[in-house]
Amino acid sequence: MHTHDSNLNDELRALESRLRGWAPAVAGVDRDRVLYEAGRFDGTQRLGLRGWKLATAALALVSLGLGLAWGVERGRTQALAVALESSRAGGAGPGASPVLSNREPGAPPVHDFKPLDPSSYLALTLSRAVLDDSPANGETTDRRGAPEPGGDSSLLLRFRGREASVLLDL
Amino acid sequence: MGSIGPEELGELFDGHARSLVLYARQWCEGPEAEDVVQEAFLSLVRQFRRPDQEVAWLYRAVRNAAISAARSRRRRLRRETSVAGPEAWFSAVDERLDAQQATDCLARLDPELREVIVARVWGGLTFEEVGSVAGCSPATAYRRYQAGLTQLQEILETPCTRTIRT
Repeated sequence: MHTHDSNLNDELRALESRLRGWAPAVAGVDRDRVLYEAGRFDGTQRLGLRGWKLATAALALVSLGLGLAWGVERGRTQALAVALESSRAGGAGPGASPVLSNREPGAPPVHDFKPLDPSSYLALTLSRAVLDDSPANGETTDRRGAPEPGGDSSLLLRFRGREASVLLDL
Repeated sequence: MGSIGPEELGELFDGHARSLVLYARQWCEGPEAEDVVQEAFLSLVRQFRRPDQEVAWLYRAVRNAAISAARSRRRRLRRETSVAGPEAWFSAVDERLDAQQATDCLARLDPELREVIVARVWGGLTFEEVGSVAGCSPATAYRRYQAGLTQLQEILETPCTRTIRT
């Protein structure tokens, strides 16, 4: 650059310095508007950056919470698996759960029926099945066909009726 | 590198807005040049990444926008008749000329020479920056600058340029 400048002769250099003294006119450029836009853009950019930071922190917290919940659930599943394994082995092992270990080995499983909502589809289907299979209804055996070999159909119906009444909480 | 801040923008504006308007007037007329410069500053503000050479970037942005605006104006002028006279490009010159005469002298330069003169003298760009803005090599920019100064000197020495406008 200095090489270029040194190539100018004195007249051109004098003209150059004279031209530098001319002040270009500016009237219509709104300095305040430019600075206002700059400040507004800067603020918007900072707000956007803050939003990204908040979103990142929130996602990190959610991920941490989900990870903890998954770990707890996994621990429970593993404990349950150990308890089931020990109960299947026939004795209450050291890791067996107290509920499972209190049960006697030969005892029948306890059915923990919860009453159904009478208006639910399952309840209605069961009640209809009970009514259809009741002994008063003569079509039961016809519709079901031949009784099961070696089975007692009246006992089966009685069991179904009892089970359905428990389910329906009648 | 982030975007440019308001304080730095204010310094850039104070230092270069006038010469940028003069530069834009190589292609634009009247308030169009000022609009182009203002838009260039606003574009600089909206840049997420700050340009390496802000001044050269501004000159390039002004050049592109001014050329585009000049094309639109030429299309518009085919339909309209402009009666407005040329306005002075300078607010203060020297004791030998008034602002309008200086404008006339500069306006008589060849456009490609005038562009380099304005970018170099009033914009303060280096010849590398002038070359990158004008799309030529630094050596070509220097040659144009030298030729422009010589041509301007001849124009200034010609008595017929000292026209008095009423």
